[in-house]
Amino acid sequence: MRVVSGDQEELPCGVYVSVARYRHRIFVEQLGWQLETRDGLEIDQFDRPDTVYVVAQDDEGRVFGCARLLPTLRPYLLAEIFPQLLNGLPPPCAADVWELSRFSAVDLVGSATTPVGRFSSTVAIQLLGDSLACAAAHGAKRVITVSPLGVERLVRAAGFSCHRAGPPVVVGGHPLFACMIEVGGT
Amino acid sequence: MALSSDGYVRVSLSNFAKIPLDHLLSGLDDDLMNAAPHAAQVAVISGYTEWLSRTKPAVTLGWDWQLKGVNGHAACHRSGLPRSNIMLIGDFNEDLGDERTAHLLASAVDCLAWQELALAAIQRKYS
Repeated sequence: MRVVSGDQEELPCGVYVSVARYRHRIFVEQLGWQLETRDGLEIDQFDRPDTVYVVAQDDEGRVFGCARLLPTLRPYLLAEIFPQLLNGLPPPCAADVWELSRFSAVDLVGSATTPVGRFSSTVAIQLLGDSLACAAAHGAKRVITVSPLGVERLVRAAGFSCHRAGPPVVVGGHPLFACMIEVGGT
Repeated sequence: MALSSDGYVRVSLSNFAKIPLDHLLSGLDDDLMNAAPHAAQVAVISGYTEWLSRTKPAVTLGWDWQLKGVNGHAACHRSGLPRSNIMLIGDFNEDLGDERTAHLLASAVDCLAWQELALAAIQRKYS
């Protein structure tokens, strides 16, 4: 496994498109999320020039994990789409708070046949740790994320502390919550 | 009880104990639901449960559980520490910290009669 990170321009040639295709397969085809798509690519309004990506690839360059980092000083997913997850708080807007979204660590070409079998917690923990380190390198002290409930276990397994910024809300049949992860003091 | 800009609801343990919690949802762990059955395999049944206050700000508390047999009787027991938006505070309004808060909340959870509602919700969800 190798992990690369950067904005669209900084990623190696072709990786940004591969990530968009991978996201389509994971979030649209497997999880059934109702998202904007175009030509088999999942790209939305938060995929901007200042968006930072963290990408896990196998030895042949195939994407099997990704994360998206957005500064909260500009529009981001939680503030724009899911502010109801914040328990009445205004969405964070600070240079040292970044948002993590579109996190996945699923091997689409592995031999396992079930979605769970293709989910590698070892890879997920490493990718999450690398993503949070990348956010910290961009000045984040906290990372906030719209998450399914299971993410808290993953964050703690990666060695980071986290807490809820509000109660879970069932959206589209799935309980989601805002998770605040400390990246400055681990 | 106050909501802070970091998302925590800061509350003393004595005041937390007075907050009624409603059952929100419960479920079985995904890996359990996707596991292929094998003959004579010892199954560990585990899941999660989520509880919520009606207060403003809302208090959210969730924890994992396992179904264990003790003395011939099966019962649900909390496993691991609770996850929440709560930061317990001391006599001088000082934060008790994440770890101490989680352990105190765990003790509080163990005094709640949560098992029956959680199992009923799971039966409705998976039946």
